[in-house]
Amino acid sequence: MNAFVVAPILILLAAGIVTQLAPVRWRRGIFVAGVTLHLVSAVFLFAQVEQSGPQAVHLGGWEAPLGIALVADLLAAVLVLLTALLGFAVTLALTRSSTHEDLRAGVPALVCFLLAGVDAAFLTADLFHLYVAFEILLLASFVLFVVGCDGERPRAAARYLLPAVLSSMLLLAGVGLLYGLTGTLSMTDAGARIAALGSTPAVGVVAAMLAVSFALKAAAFPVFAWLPASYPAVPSELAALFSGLLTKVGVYALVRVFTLVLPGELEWMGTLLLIVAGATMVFGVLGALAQWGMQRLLTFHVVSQVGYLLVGLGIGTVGALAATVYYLFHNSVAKTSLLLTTGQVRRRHGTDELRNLGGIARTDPWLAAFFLIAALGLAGIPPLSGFWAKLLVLDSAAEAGSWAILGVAAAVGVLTLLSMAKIWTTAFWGEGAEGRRAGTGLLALLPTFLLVLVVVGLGLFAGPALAIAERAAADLLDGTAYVDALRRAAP
Amino acid sequence: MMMYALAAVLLGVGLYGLLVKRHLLKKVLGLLIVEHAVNLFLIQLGYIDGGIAPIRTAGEEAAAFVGNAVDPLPQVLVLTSIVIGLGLAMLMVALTLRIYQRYGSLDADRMSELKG
Repeated sequence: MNAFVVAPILILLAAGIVTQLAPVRWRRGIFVAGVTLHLVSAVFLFAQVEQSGPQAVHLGGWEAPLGIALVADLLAAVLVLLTALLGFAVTLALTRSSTHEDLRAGVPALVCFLLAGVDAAFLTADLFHLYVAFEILLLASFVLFVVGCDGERPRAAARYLLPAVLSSMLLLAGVGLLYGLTGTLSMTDAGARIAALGSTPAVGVVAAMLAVSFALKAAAFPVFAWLPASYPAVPSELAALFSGLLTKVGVYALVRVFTLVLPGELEWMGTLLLIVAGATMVFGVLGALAQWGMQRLLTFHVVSQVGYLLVGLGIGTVGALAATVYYLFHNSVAKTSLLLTTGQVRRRHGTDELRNLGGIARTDPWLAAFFLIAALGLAGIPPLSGFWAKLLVLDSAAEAGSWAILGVAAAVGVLTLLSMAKIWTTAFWGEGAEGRRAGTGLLALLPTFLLVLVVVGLGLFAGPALAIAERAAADLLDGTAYVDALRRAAP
Repeated sequence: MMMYALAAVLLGVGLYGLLVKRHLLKKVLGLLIVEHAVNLFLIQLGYIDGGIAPIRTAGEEAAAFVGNAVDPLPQVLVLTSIVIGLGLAMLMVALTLRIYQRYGSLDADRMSELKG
């Protein structure tokens, strides 16, 4: 039994339950303590996996085909670390922005359960368990949507929930069909039996059902409309958490299932994925450019960036998947940081309408500086992390000879820079509407600062980070390390 | 085969409600029908015509038991999915109620007309 693999999930579940049972005035403290402990456990897990390879746990002592296994390979460990980092930053921001009512309604517990669901989705080696993890994070995020119920939130919640439940049903039916074909729910076992079956039409149907379901969760073209219709309505801190993690779980599920369970299906799906990726990038960025609300603009960008993430799987080489891993980490951090900044702007000025803002760079230089770094990072200016991320995607596309996607990705990169420039020139530069108070407090800036530090660090130390991404990608395509870890952990 | 066809019909009815109907409550009901269709489909996967319950009694021959018993795993999956579905159904109905209290309408088209 390897405690490191289960620890992140258990810590979050325990923290969630304890904060909900505790008196309201203690909830902030327990929340921060739980999420900090989770970050520590994620660092330990990452260190262990990085040093001694993938780790596995068979839950309840049942071996893999019968029981449910959790496996932390390098990709899962990196993503759990990402979850913990973003969870920590957002928690710090939330403890400042949450009202007494939010705390009473259980926002801390819900965030803990949401993070636990995300962790479980990254760690599980069982397809049905993946569905359950999706439901946990869906339920937690949905209740977070309606806590407070002010403004547009109930409406946005409906737009968020209906497509999400539909995609879960599609996932459940696809998993059921896969069970009917292979007689197993374990990802490794199902993968081995699918390989023996070959690429039959039934396998193709399963692949299509799972792909559409995950694409819906990832907000890929043509099923992305729910995201910009719902994320702008929630408080920026929650939007930061959702944008950083939720769509990425969909992308992760696509990558995991189509490398471990259905790698054969990528042959016909690869080109389709590239078309979807290109369209997602273009529609997302064009939608973003047309917006005048900061949060609205940034959430449209979430869609655009999902396109970049799908390129890696569409090409399917080690280099391309490594690009996806690096891009995913960088993008989630940068996007969360930008949305946390938006939260600060909203609180200070009561709005995030770009036309009503101006001159923040003068009244609040630190906030503006952090925004600028994260925005340039997202747009891909060297030496920040986004530059390497975009370069890797373009490079892997060039290597595979996919010139069309190369062109689209480069053009969308320019448009991304343009949309970041739009926010910068209207809200941060120019004449200020009014500067009521000088500077945001240092403590309030801490979460954004942490994330900006990561964006800069990932850029400056791109070498080691890329080496890890490449190892994760090589393990994904090889698959034997994952299976070995399961066998070694067998009770 | 009959039952698979029934699941497909239910799926069609549910999707129709979800995608075509404008009334939010009808959309929710459509989604619930889709859930039932998927559950019905899953339970078929382990079903054997004339099969016995998958509980082995003492002295029963293993080979005969394996041959006759229905597969219990899909039943477990459906049980889990029904419980999750119940939670979701309650949340969706509560949300529908809240939307009606707030906007005075459950028309999805009118909802999207208002800037959202």
